[in-house]
Amino acid sequence: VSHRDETPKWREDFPYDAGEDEAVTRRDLTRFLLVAGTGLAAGSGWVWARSRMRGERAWPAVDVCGEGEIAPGASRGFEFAGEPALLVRRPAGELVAFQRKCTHLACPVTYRPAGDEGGEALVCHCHHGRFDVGTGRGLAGPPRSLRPLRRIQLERRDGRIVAIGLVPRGEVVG
Amino acid sequence: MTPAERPTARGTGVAAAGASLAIVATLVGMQYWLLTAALEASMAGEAGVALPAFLASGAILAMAAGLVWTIERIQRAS
Repeated sequence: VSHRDETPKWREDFPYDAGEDEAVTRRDLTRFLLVAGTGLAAGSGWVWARSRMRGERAWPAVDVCGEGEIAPGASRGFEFAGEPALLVRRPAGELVAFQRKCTHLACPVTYRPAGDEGGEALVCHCHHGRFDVGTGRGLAGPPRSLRPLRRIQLERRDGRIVAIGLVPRGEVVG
Repeated sequence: MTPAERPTARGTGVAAAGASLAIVATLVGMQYWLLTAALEASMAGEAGVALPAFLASGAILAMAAGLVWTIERIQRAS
């Protein structure tokens, strides 16, 4: 049986001539970039839709600790809304709590009390980021230009400190 | 211009494909930046950024698609 009239198998795999390869590969890459651009535009649409549907979900309250169990200048980790969080009693006695993931690359932040190098701050050790303990705003390092740490609302109930909800995004307390 | 100096159709096609690729890559880079900026602003509670970013991203996509379509149409015609 003669196969002379049939298209050879290699031609199916390489459907264009050697002279055209540069133009074809660039055109294919351009089309691929267009598909990626479509995905990015869809992603921007998703961000917009998500920002319109904003509504703070109610999270179950979490009993963090007794009031006497945390001294001024100390901190205590706990979990709230499915995320690690940090309760801080400032030297003056004020209690604050924040979600603990750094807004840069999600490393855990720790509390550094006043008196240590750099003063009182929430510190991310991965990239030397620092956050204001009162507001959660970035003070130094990569978080300075990023969103603040999410603050957690606290309540005192029968001598216990209870986390009751997240402060709405964009609302900075203190 | 002598015939030897005149650009060939293949050479012009490769140059057009390269230019188109460079412009589309730049536009997609801008879309990427818009998406990350809008997401960051949205997570910080600034809802006003998301819609302009979405519209700009859509306009950039339309520009990129229009450019590719136009260049491919010219190449097919030549």
